[in-house]
Amino acid sequence: MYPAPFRYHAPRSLDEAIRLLAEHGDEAKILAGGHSLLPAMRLRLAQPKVLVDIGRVPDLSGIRLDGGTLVIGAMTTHREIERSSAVKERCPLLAEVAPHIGDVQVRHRGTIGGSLAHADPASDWPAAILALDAGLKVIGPNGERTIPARDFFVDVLTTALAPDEVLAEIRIPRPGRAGAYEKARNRASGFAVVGVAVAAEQQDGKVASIGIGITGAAGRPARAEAAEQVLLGRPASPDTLSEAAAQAAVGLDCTPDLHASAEYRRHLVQILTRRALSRALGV
Amino acid sequence: MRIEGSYRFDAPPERVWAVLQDPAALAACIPGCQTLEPVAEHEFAATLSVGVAAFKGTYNGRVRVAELDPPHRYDLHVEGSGRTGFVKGVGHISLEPDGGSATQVKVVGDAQVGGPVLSVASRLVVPTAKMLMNQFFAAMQRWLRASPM
Amino acid sequence: MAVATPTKAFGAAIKRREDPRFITGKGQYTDDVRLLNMATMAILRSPYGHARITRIDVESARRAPGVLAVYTGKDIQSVAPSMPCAWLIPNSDLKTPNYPPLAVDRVRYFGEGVAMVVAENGYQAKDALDLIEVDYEPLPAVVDQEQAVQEGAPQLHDDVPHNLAFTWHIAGGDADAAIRDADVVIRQRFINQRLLPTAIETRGAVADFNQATGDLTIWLTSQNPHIHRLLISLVLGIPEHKIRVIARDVGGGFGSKIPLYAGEVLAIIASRDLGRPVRWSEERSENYVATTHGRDHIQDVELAANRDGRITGLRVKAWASLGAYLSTAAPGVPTWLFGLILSGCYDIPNADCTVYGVFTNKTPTDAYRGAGRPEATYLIERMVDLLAAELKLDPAEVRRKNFIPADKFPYTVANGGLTYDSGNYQGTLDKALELVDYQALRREQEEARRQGRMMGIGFSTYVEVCGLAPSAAAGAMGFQGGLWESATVRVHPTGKVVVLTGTSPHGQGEETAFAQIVADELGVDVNDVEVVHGDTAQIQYGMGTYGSRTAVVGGAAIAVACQKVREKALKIAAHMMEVAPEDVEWADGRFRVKGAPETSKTIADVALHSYLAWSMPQGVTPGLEEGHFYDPSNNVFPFGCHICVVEIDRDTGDVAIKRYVAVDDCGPVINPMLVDGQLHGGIAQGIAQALFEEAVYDENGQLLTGTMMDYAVPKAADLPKFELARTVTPSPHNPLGIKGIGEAGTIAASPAVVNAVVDALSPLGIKHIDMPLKPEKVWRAIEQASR
Ligand SMILES: Cc1cc2nc3c(=O)[nH]c(=O)nc-3n(C[C@H](O)[C@H](O)[C@H](O)COP(=O)(O)OP(=O)(O)OC[C@H]3O[C@@H](n4cnc5c(N)ncnc54)[C@H](O)[C@@H]3O)c2cc1C
Repeated sequence: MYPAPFRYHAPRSLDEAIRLLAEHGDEAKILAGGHSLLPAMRLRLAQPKVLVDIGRVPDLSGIRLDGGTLVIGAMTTHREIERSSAVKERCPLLAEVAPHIGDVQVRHRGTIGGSLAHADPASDWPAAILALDAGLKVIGPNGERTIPARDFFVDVLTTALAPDEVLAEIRIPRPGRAGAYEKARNRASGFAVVGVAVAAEQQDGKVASIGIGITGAAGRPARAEAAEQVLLGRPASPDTLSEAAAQAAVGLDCTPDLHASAEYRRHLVQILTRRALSRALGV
Repeated sequence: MRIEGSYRFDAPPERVWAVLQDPAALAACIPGCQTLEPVAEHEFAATLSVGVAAFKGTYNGRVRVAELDPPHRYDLHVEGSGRTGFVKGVGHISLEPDGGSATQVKVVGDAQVGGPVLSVASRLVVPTAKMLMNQFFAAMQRWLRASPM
Repeated sequence: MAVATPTKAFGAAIKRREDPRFITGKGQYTDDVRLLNMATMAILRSPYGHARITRIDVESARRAPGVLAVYTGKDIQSVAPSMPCAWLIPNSDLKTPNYPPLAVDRVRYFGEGVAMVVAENGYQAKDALDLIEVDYEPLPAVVDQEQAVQEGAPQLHDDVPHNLAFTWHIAGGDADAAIRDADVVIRQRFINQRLLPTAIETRGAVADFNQATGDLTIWLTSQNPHIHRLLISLVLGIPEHKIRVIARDVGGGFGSKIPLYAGEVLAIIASRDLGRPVRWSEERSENYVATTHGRDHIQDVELAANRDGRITGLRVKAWASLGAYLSTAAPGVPTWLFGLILSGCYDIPNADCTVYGVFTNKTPTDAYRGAGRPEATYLIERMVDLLAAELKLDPAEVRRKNFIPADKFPYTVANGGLTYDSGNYQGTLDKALELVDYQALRREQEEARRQGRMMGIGFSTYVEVCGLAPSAAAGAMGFQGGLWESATVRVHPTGKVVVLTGTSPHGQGEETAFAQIVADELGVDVNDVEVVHGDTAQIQYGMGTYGSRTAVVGGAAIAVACQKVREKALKIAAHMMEVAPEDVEWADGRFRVKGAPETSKTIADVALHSYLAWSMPQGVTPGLEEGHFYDPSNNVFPFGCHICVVEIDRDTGDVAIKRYVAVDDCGPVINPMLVDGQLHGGIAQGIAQALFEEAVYDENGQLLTGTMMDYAVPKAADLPKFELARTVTPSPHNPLGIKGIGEAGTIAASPAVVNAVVDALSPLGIKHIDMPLKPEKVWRAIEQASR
């Protein structure tokens, strides 16, 4: 397979990367793991004139704790997250989501930052990132800013990132919350027909915090806010869970495609939400 | 492929109608529109560079307005083809007053998309079409707000 | 002196000798061939399912960097007017419309070649494709074969009214009467969906035409290099003796590498014009439109039976989608390979089958693993289950009642077209029932149902016809070739053996299996046997690998050639031991003097002697090499019983396979590991068809499943553990007693899975769901039935 011609840069610093991006604007694309971008280029669906490979930029990968926040570098591979003991301990939801992505080879190459920046409506990470209220630290010519996950995903394959911004870190507050991920897998691609991630905390027999992130169902991933509202401050019981699940698809503009109708997706959102809630809340 | 949408404009139907028919507004608001030239009455030749994120293609095509019933409804015929595929469709657009000074614009579109892009990325076609439609009307809303009465 | 008895190689689970080179990336596939000065070709393909070409402008492509040549359909027309069809089924009014390698003024399917570019490298060729301007005038398309034959449907070919390529009929007994007089008649429509064969190695070619000598060497991904050589010669007028076809390693075929394709012809034309090697290699998304597809049947089936479950008649009407043109073997697949075996392993006295072969705006279809037999087996196995459900009988019981009894072989089917060689259908069923512990399983199912869980048990008791032969039958069926196979067995002076086979293994492991046959026949070590295939300059001639014929026909040819070697060697051995040939016998892998077994000679001893030839018996020529062209007297008929157990997630419609038990009978097994491997792959493909594989077109003839993002090939993680067992019923006419196993798994698996799913859903009154049983379809069926 032959992509259209492009120029390749491998900057050694973030500054240089950002300068290259600013210089080439819309013509340039960041190259991370290449596992979404290169297939598109090989099909000639994407024809960027310039690739800026950020694989040699220091400090973009790795998992660390920053006070109470779990920080994952954008260039951290899916596999590193899957195997990290810090993640298993502090954020079991992420550890549960990772193995759902592709196969081991894919997970060794693909990065969490690439996945989020690509914003494929069927990708797995966005559900978890939304559920966890993550902050996405991006760096551009004018310095850095942190975008809340719920503002990050704008539309299909479209995020709040400017063309000359680099996603640098995924910052997860309040680690330690219980989590669960339920996925109806597309048998062809392995991506999510629908994926539902739940992160939750209970205090004094009541749901103290809850995040429900939904991917695969619509053109962009979203929080199931109506469902969250049902549960917040109430005890988790089979009834409240079912009541919440019934609200999980409210406001979702479900996509019909070859693999599932909008109606079936809507149904799956409710079923999988119920299951994920049940596991996360131990009910 | 069928897509639907509904958009609220803060202006009465007559004014919304005028903007929706204004070639300058169209050229500015059609996502990725590079050229828009009249070839006949109510008909334009267009060059569009459309797509989403890195998935971009250049399309040459025609835009034709028909069944005009000002300021209530019209049909917008779009036809275009490029290296990655082609599209042919019609949007039925209706304007309804919403209170005294606003308008609800409803779109019901039916399009045939084809070519390699459909074959390799059919799952993205509907959401992308919706996104482009949303972009178009959002741009129109801005255009309307920015343009003098 | 005690002589060591060589261990028997036949039957041993020897690891595949092919694997080290495959696993370490040392195989030599077509795309690994790199020749000096090699150019690369790329093909521009139609974005429409049906359209008129009103203009092609290749001027800027021609001027693009590195471009050596650009061709359109008009340029090719006079050189190669049409691709060939080589299965001209008789008594069918078969139409063979012109099939240009590049479309001339009209495209009839999405992905049909429209122009091609040859450039210094692949990047330049692809860049230049983007510069070709084509204007199309879209035409209405027809993608459904039943609609295509209706009045007023879009017409694909001017010389084929109603898009009807042929009507084919075969019958035996009086099915109409049987249906009229029956206690019960079951009627059902089945859709056997279109599939994409998906060999891991896509197709490709490296054509090297020497303008000085007129010699063409072409590396191909072929299942039958000699057939390719013949067809290339016919299409391009290059004399057969000037063509060398090489298919060294081939990464799977499943039937899709039987036909001759346009891409190969175009590469040759370009190489001949340019005097340079020209390489062409499909991308996967190109493979999905440019390589033949499989299946795509609509079937209306009626089955007549007595109240006690005895089947009395079967009537089938099938519409087979052939795609836009006739691929090389296309007409034979939905006719002979489907219609003859329709009654499966049941003794059905009256059977009637009509097949309509229909052109549609889709990629041409041809053989795909099982080719016709999965379509037949699915149909009859589903019907038997529907009958059991209707009569409230156990599906195992209905099968038992209708099996051809073991003592009725050879058995000729009602339509007279096949005579099953041997079988014991009851035997495989019984063994499978025992393996799954059927009674316990049914109790478990009852318990599951009480708990509201949906568990199902599905059977498939299949028989298939393979080892395609004999040549006389090929002639009667209109197949433009023989169905024999050839072998040369060459014993070197050191006793090492080279076997040249006319078959063309492409992943099945026959290099190993054939060595095992030879090892026993000649008393040599398996590792001392080299198996050569896939090169017309080395191999005498051959018909290739398809229809599970390689071991059965090719292996038999080798066995007979070995026996000829032994006959000659025995004379030489007798001469060496100074006894009369009558006093020598072949025992434990050596020639021994009768009554004095310690006096013996090995094949190696004899070989050296025969090449030195200093002292040969009267009338015996030097050397030790024999060839054989083996034409079997009949096909072979492997059979078995597969049982699938599923559980369905009621809320999502997701089907989980809990157990998969297969008892197969392919006669004596050469290498159990290879047979298991064939079954694993075959069952995987059968399960995939049942549950998720499906080529989807929209109504305009656009293929929507153009990559593996949307076309679901089975992966190991999707599949259960297979529990395999065997019975052994030799073929009475095959020299080794063996039967083919390459397609059996695929043929058997789909109905077992669907029967299990329908069994699980039966308490809701659900009788049938068409494949693939994707979660949404199952969920909808449940929703609808529970309403
Ligand atoms: C066979 C296969 C199976 C897969 N299965 C799944 C699956 O089941 N679930 C799933 O979710 N995904 C799946 N994927 C996608 C995989 O997870 C990708 O790795 C991921 O989507 C993209 O990450 P990447 O590092 O490869 O990014 P790239 O492909 O390099 O980049 C993707 C896009 O993001 C941009 N980008 C990358 N990094 C940054 C950054 N730091 N800042 C700003 N922009 C950036 C790039 O410019 C590009 O536009 C699969 C991929 C393959 C090939």
